Amino acid sequence: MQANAFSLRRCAATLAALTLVIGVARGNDASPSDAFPNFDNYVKIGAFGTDLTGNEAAFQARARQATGTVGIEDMYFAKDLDKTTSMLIDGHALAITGDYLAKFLVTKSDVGSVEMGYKSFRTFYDGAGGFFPLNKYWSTLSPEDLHVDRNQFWAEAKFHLPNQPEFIVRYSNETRSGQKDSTIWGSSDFTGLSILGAPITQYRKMVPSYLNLDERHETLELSATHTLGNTTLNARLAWETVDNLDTRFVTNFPGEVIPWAIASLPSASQPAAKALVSPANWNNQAVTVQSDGISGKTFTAMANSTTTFTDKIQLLAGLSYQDINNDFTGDRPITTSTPTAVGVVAVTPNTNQGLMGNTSGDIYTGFVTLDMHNNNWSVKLSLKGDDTYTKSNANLTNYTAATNTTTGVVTYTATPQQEYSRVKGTSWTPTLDFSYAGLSQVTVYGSISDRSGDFDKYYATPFTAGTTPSANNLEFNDQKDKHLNMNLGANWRQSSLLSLRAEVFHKDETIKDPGYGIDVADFYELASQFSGVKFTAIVKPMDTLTSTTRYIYQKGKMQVTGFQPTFPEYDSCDAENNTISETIDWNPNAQFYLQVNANAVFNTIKTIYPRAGTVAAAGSTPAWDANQVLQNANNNYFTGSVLAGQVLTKEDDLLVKFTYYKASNNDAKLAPITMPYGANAEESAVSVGLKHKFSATCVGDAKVGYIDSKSDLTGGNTNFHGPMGYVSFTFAL
Amino acid sequence: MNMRLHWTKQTLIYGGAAVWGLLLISCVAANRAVLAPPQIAGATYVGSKECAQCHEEVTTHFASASHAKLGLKDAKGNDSSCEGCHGPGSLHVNAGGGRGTIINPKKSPETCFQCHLDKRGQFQLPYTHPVLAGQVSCVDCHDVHSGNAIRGTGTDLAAQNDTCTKCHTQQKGPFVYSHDAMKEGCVACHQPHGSVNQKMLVARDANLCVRCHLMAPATPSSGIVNIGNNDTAGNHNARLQQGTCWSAGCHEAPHGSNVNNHLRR
Repeated sequence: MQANAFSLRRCAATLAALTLVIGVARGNDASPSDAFPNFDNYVKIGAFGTDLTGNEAAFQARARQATGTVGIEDMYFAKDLDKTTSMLIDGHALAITGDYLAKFLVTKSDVGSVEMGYKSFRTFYDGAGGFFPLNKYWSTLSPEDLHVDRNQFWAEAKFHLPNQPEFIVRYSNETRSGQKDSTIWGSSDFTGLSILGAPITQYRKMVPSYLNLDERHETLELSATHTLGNTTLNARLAWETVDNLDTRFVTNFPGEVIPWAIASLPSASQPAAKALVSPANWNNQAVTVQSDGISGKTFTAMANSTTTFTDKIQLLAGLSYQDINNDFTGDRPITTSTPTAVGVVAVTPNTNQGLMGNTSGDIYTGFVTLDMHNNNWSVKLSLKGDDTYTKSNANLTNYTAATNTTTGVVTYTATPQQEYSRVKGTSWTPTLDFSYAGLSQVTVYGSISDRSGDFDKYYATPFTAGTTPSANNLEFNDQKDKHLNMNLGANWRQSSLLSLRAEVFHKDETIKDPGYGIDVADFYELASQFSGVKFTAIVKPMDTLTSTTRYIYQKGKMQVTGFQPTFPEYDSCDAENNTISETIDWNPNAQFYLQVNANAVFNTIKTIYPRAGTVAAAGSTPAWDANQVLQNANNNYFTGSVLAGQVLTKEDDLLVKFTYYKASNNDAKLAPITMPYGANAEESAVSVGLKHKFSATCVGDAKVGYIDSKSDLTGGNTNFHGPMGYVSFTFAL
Repeated sequence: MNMRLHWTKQTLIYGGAAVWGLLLISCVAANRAVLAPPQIAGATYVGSKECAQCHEEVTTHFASASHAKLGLKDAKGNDSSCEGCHGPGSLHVNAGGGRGTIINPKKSPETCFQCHLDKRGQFQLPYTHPVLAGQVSCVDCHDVHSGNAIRGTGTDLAAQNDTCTKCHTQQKGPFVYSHDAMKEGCVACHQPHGSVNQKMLVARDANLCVRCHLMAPATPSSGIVNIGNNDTAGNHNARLQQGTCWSAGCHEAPHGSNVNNHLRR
């Protein structure tokens, strides 16, 4: 029996070895006779569908596509119209998921080209407003299924006659429209949060809201490029307009205050809270509509040149000017109500309305670069300068309301206000880049740049129009900043078996806001220092196996020093990141491949916690350590994927794909005191596909799969799972 | 007749070997290669000089590109910078150009993922730009053929933030009250390749802001988190319970405000 088993194993091993050898031999065949056709022109028609259980809106947001779609997945058609003219049509059109592309290009040799196109894609949102474990409350919008469409139309003409300047004219019109989810403060106790011991809406809490986006961005560009002698000149003029109106909507309903028992309180303490269910203690319905509009124009003129003195020395120079002129508007009307002796009266509380203003800016930028190189080394010395002057002014009306509880009469006080600001300054950036390839199989490179800026900032916060702003409204600041960036790296190709790359980097930045005024918030010195290393190893122990490993490490600190009154330097951030990535490609023979990818990230940002004091504060203010609302912000995660392909028959290929994602950053300490934001999710998806050659002009592709997504962060309310199916046919044209 | 399948270790070994063998036998019957993307079956390296024959407008400026610093070479020591990303070019050269014989990284990020493995993982995260969905390309934000791969750095005439604000125009400004964090670049707060946090933020909650906006405590042992002012007015212990700094209806204009110098609306 054992002999039979051994014989079978030996036969299987022999068979496998034989077929591997044959497969490798076939893999080296430069023109495999059974290769799938490579269509020059084609159209690919496809359909995708799901049968999900759970939150379909969450699937759409995660997968970036609708739960079902059908249409032209890809189309490409190129044709020579005559000996010198060709045309190209490229595009796709997937209904429901809102993904479209239509591009048309005609090119005539030694003359130029004309291109027109339209592109559109959709970003989905799930309407999630957060999950609060204390009350197991799922805060969400209705409907949950939101999306924003980005559309772009463009037209471009390029003229380039032989030995003549090249001219390009381009127009593009981009729009962004739709609804996306958000959150905002509101009067709600559904969350169950007892902030600083206050169970009712003494402190506002989180409620869902949504943003309605209506944005347009048009650009007209003219550019010209020409070479005169040893100098190539390029000039560009651009006119841009922006017309945006984004509006936020939020509604707080009566009864959002204390409809629930407070889980954090013992039962003996509940009556006081439950008593608040009385309508007299309900919150009022409040509707907030907040709009922000921009109508702006920007003109940009840019020119740069490259002069080649010898084959080893080049001089590059450039200059640009930008003129920005934006008109902006804004409104934040809040409509609420208050119970009075004569009934519920609508009230508009303290709001800012009728904001109208203008910001303008003049920005000059220039650079000069000396580039010297030969076969083994290169050195590039550069200097860049920026001069910026922006100014703003605006008017708005501040409304306050008072309600007479006997008569129900609401008295509004409208106060016209004005505000302005001005920022003027320059910055300089010297940069040195170098590389050296004179060592055997080794290239060394490095870069250092040090940007320093000096800015005069001056602004007045809203003050009563027509009056002189008080000292409290004014801020002057002489801001100085420095930004040092350095890196040094090497690429060592030891042989075809091994390549190693390493790069160390360091950033050191300081912003000094010494200003003067009464508000310490605006006057401080911020410093940060971050250092790290990137390491890549490509190991190819045999022709059929490649391992690529990448490791990135970064560690840094930030410090804040208060200027007024002077406070000592205080560490405000301590961050560390470790990223380990691996890809293994294995092609044991020409008919099979396996690719395995994995990423593990350990990323922690520490701020005040746990460096804050440990002794409880006096009075009614709880101690920080009793609060503990700021835990370390971990961004750890693991992602992985496996991709395998196998030739099955002369007409069939098998494709298997598996993806995995897991993050565990939740912190149980946060649940009783705030929304626990840390990602805590696990997701996997698997698919098996078959690619089939029906004929020399038709190839089909079919896949079935299953996806499972769970998120504890949302209390399982965004979970989904279920089968997926996909089919497509590609026809030669 | 009662037949039951008994899964044993030997069943798995022999069954697995049989399936494997069948697959391999079926392979032998087909003369075709499959390769993990991005690869070109049957192609070999030809060196960057061949590419310059037709694509001189691209290769001329490549020496200034960030990727040129790596000095990629093939087994014979020839410059292989072009083929490092576009794949071996022999079939493309022999065919006189055309699709299907060369890799176009603009169509798929797989080329970039070969070296930037960590970015593959980031684009798999829940909050990211739709690169894997094919709606945004790596080259929409990165210049790979000339100059700095990260736009707006070094001596680029454009500012680094222009890479982001060309699409996100509402955040471009200038604003009446600017936020100095924008001087550090959008990436000071956002991780554009992908994050586990909403809005691609580098930190999930108020830690994002407290990295910079922290006043030294009036009394170090008080346990009060002072932000803005170093006194009672700066006590944000309750505010931090109410959500993030930016989504909670308070400092909700983090890119810059036209109403309030504390970035409110």
